[in-house]
Amino acid sequence: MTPSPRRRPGLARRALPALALTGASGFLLSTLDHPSAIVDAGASTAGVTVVSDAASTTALSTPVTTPPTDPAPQSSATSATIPVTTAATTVVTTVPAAPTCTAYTGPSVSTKWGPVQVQAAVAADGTICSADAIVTPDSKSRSVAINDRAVPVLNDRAMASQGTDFDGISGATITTNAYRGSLQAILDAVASGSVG
Amino acid sequence: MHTTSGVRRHAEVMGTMASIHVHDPTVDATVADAAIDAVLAELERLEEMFSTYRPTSEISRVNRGELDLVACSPEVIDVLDACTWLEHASSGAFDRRARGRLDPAGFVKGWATERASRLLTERGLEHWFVGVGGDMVVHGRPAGRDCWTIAIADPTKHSAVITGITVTGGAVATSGSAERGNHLWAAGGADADTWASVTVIGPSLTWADAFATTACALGPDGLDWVSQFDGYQAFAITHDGVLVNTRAA
Repeated sequence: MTPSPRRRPGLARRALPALALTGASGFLLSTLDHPSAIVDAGASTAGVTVVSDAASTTALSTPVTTPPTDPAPQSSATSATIPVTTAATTVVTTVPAAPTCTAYTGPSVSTKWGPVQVQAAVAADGTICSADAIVTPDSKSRSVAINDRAVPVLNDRAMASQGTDFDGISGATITTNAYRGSLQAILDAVASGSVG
Repeated sequence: MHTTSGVRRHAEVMGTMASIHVHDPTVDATVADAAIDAVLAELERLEEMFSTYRPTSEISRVNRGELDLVACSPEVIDVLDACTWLEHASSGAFDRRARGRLDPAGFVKGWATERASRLLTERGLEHWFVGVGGDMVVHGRPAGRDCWTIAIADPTKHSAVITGITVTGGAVATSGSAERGNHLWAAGGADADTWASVTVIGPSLTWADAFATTACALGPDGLDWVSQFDGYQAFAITHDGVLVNTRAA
């Protein structure tokens, strides 16, 4: 049975914070005035709030002025971009002591472009210290073009310093799917105590 | 931290990795394992039914003219019906065909994941996470925490995460131009390259995934298009790495 979405005449308010990844130093965090504004109060089971990158160390002082709720009927106006202030100097003033990390190699995940395999260093508490794709699908010309954009490298300093503790990662591309799959397997293994 | 995290399993399905976490504190591990086995088996069954990479799938047999649509499994009819509805609802931006052949792959992963994950609830489990290739359904609560934390991958940089969201129940799906699968975006032209990725959050993964795919194809109007559906929220990341949400100004 396929569920059907219900149409709604008006627009719900939308108030996600703007976030941008600064070029050099990682995460820029903005906070919501009213996180509950994006929860469709009681209307669904999908209560959602944006968190501060799960990182007390990246608590920044760059609040975004949440636009006023617009109860106007739906229009075809294009979505506007939230102004984002990039202020690298305010990012991550406290870097915690580096955790003890152990290197793991995730399973190879096949994609239509070829295999992807991730090697990651993970602390016992699930913090990702670093991660790299050690096998990437680069044997075909198409793969090279895709891979260049799609395989993320998780060894960003901000990533390592924020104590990443995610249940899952949502993203878009074929090879990043495989990358996340391989990395997720490592996280699962560490969390369940079956390795390390 | 995930120190009391219950049963976690992963397995390769649908060309990517499924990750299933069961956090029910009082459930025996063998019960959780059996439920996870059932989810994985259902995903495999549905992949065998729909995969265009498998010559034995019903979709492949339909495309070769060996199987009439009216003789297909109810699941195939359901999916094709839903895809047809979505094509109309998106004025053709969503397309269930690729090069003239049926290819509902842009719809099936989310639909199959949601369908398979229900088996956990049917077996009495209350607190679980099912993620398949970056799309996920969550139910209940993770052990020791109030909500699930989901990282959103940055599609534009070689850094993994652009932000995090917490979800108390429902689904998160992200689609992007890099996974275009080459047909969904053909009709959209330049508009279809507006967003590097679109994430949709809502009660159903079937529709969160389908709406994310469609919003990418629709381009500038995609986020507003999603917002007409009750309970669904969308945000996008531009090719410049800027996060954009619905009607922000």
